[in-house]
Amino acid sequence: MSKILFVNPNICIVDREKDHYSVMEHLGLGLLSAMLVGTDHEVSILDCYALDLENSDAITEIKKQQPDFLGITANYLNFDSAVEIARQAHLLFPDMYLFLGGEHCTYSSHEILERYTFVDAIIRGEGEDTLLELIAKAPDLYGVLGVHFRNKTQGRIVKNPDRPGITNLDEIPFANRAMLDYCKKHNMTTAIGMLAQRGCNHQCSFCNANSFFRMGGGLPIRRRSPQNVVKELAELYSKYYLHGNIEKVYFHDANFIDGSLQSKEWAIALAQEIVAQDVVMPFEIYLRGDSLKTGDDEVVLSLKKAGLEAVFVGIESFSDNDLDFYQKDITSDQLIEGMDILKKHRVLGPTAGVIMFNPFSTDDGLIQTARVLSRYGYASFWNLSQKLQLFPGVKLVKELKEEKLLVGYDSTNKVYSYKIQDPCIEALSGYLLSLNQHPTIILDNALPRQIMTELSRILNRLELLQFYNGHIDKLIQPLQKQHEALNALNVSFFIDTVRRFRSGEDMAGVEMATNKYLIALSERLNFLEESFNSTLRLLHEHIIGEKSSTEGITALS
Amino acid sequence: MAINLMAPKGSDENVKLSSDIWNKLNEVRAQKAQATKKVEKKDTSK
Repeated sequence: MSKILFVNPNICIVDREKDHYSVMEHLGLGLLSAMLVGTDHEVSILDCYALDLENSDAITEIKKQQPDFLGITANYLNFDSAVEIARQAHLLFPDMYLFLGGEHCTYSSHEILERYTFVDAIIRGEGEDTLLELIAKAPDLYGVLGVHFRNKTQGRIVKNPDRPGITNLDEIPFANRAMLDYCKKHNMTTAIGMLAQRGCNHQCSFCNANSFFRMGGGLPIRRRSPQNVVKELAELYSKYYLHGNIEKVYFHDANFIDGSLQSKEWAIALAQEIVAQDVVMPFEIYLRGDSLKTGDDEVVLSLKKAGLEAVFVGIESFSDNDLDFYQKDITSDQLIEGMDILKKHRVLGPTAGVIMFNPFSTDDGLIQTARVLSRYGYASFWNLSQKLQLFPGVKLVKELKEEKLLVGYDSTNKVYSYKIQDPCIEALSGYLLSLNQHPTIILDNALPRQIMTELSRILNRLELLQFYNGHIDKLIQPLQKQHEALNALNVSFFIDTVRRFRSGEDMAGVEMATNKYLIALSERLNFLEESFNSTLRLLHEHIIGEKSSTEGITALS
Repeated sequence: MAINLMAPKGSDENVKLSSDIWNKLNEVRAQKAQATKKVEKKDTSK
């Protein structure tokens, strides 16, 4: 019997006081630890991110538990904390077997093992079966698929072949929800993580979703049966959702609907099963721009009945050249078609995936993207300033390295750096990014999202209760106009700045225009907030007041 | 692409208004569900 402790280190760069989202459990650790629950082993999870704990708290827990195995998950945001915890744990207990995992570590495994000699192994790709073998066989991991490990006696680093993904996902135990139990006990609001599918059938050049879940080969997408997913949801519903304090369920599937008929039928069957089993909870999903087409209303409406309240769309760009560069296998027209159906059904999420700048950005591409983003309310300054991030493992790292366009590795953000080919756009991108910490820009990134999310939630619920009508449309119109004006202001400043940089205007002129914009932006944000306040009061009156639209229902009960 | 997680919490008045609205909507949903069940029960007892 062994004692295993899993740790999810905290993220230092997020200001937790302002973190809008509720606590999110680490689903990956929940799935891995579930493999060991019910065995002779003793397993526990310390989620420093969810509980907002310091690295020193993790060390205290490690000292208390003295596990035989310490498994740490790390991504680009918490990697430094992971290394710090691992280093200190190794100093305290040199015989403890220390392994890392997760997407970031998978694609940096060799560099990590070379640099951090206290790390014994890295689990690469899907971890469930690899974990069981690692626990049974460590430190001799020869022949264990999916591990990159250190042979301490020979002083060698050994990379074993990758492991094929688990074929039947219905056979995997439901995730260990120890974190949800903790939150329930301490009356903390929580978000629930779910994974109904693994993989992605697209091969975008900036993303690892396709390769991560099929490192050892196998199907690009594997789906759990709707019955299996709903069985897990039903447990979550009765054990946690009915208790209250659940924000929503986040499906982490890379692309919830892949655009195929089979995928749409699966989504409808899942939605129907959720409704049939009476376990409707609000949930959010990820989609591509071409996941849905005009006429796919039934898919969206079924999912809405089952609780869908927001979709995060990987837009990236509305420029066809950029989309080709990202190998998105989609045109801007297809993207717009997919976005329009989500907008029509009011399920566009609070934000979307946007990549404005890449090594080959052009003025036309930037301006085109900015303009179309505003149609969907996504032209926040933060979105308009976003730059392509090159994570370890993505195809573009290899391609740009071959073209000698990589300029190094950013050890703070754990991404590769590159130079934008057009010097004028390189300077523009740097300038815009430098404004991101301005308090007004931070507010612009946050306030509209919060307001529009809350509005959509209320409107969608009214629609589901069949209380949505033209009167409500009129009530919300002023707020929508304010949101449109805010987006228009951001786009206008963005285009103006592109032109100023192109014309070679001196920085004093650019900064003067920026200061003017920031004052106007602050005013617009105030208008938006005031408009939201009055809209909320009107909706309150409409829903709860004496002549409310919901009164009729009282007679029924 | 990186996702910025920061967002404000909202004013006290808004939190109160929003909370009232949601309580009402949840109450109406529960009443509707109850009403639907009654109708279904009536149908099956015919």
